[in-house]
Amino acid sequence: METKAVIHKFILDELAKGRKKNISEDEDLLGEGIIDSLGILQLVAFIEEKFNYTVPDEDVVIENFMSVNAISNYLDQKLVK
Amino acid sequence: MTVKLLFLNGVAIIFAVYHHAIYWAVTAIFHWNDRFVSNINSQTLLTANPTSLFLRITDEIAGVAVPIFLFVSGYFYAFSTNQKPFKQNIQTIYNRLIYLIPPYLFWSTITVFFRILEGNDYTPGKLVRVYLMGEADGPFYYVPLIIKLILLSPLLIRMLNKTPYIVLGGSFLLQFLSSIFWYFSTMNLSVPEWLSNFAFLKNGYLASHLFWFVLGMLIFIKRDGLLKVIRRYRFILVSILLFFIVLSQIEIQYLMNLSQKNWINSQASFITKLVYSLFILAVIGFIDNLKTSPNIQFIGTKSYGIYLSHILVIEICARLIYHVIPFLLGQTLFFLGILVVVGIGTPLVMMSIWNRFPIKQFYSYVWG
Repeated sequence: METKAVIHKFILDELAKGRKKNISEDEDLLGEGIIDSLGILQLVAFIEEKFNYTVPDEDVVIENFMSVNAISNYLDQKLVK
Repeated sequence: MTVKLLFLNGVAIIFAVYHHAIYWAVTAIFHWNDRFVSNINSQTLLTANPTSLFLRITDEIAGVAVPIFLFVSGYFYAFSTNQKPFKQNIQTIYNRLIYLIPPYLFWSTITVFFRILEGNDYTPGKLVRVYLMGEADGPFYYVPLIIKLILLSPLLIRMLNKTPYIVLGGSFLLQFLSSIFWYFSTMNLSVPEWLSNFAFLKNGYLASHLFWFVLGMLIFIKRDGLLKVIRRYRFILVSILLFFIVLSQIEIQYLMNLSQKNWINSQASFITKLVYSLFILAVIGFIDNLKTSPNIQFIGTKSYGIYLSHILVIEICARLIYHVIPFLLGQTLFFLGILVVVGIGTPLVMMSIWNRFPIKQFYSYVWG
């Protein structure tokens, strides 16, 4: 499964549970209340486990975690290196 | 560090449950001692001995739970609101409150219902205080407090970006001033007139707790530089922390002797607040060396639901033990262990069951 689909599925199944049934790839995850502060922590933990990549503290910024697209773009850049 | 904050949140909720379980351990020692035979009695807690020191020190350290929650929240509200337009911040806050307030109202109502069954009366005015001030039970104060801090977060982030150390220093000063009143009341002394101008600071928890939220925000904004400094001085921080833990115990014993009180809530002491701030900084200093546990991280993800529901769970458990197996009340450590396991395990089981039925669509409105 491609990065975007994996992230999308995790957010929908685990973080948006009981909040939203569908999310678009460009939807503002924090702004729309789909995920909260603990959700961001879970998301980073999931990325680190699933992709075996440690997200540096300086990369945990809103630009990289704003939406499914933003997260997958960030990961695609980092995982290629 | 980011993932370790989830672990830290898990540790904090275990501490919170332990801290509230101690209330029942102390209740058993002081008020239920006709139900068991034990070497522990009310005099045990009044003097410095291994049992009382263990309970006091662990109670004091476990009280760091709320400061940790505030620190982690501050860190992530800085993440959410930093560099974003004000309008977008308002939308983020609105959408956050939608999932923060309903679980609080739900569990406050359940708690009030339980208290009515116990024979308590609620006037309309008292009910207003229950929901607005978080007075359904002691720990509920946290939710109105975090709501106020979330509402203040767009303003705080702007102030921190402009004058970070003035804002941090200001919030520290507020914490100091709000603590002073506690010393006067504990020692049964009247407050000097010049100080009574600041009496408004003792009301609520905003002045006394703002510092930890601001600290979390500041560490996010300045994380590159500050984390390096904290890591460099981490052993010094631990040494200062140990010194203040000892000092705070001497202070509590002194205040207990002076006031002739059986038990003092050490969280209100300024030295204890310093212990909490140093504890957080020391943990941050060693955070890369922390061995995390997936189970504790999992508990960390469920912390809000556990926090709101554990209060009734441990009360029911303590009362059941009182009626069914009272000898356990005298086995303080064992009794505490049972309350902590039940206080965390029962909400987790209830959340899991909730998710297996069609009511799962309301999960976020009940468990956060």
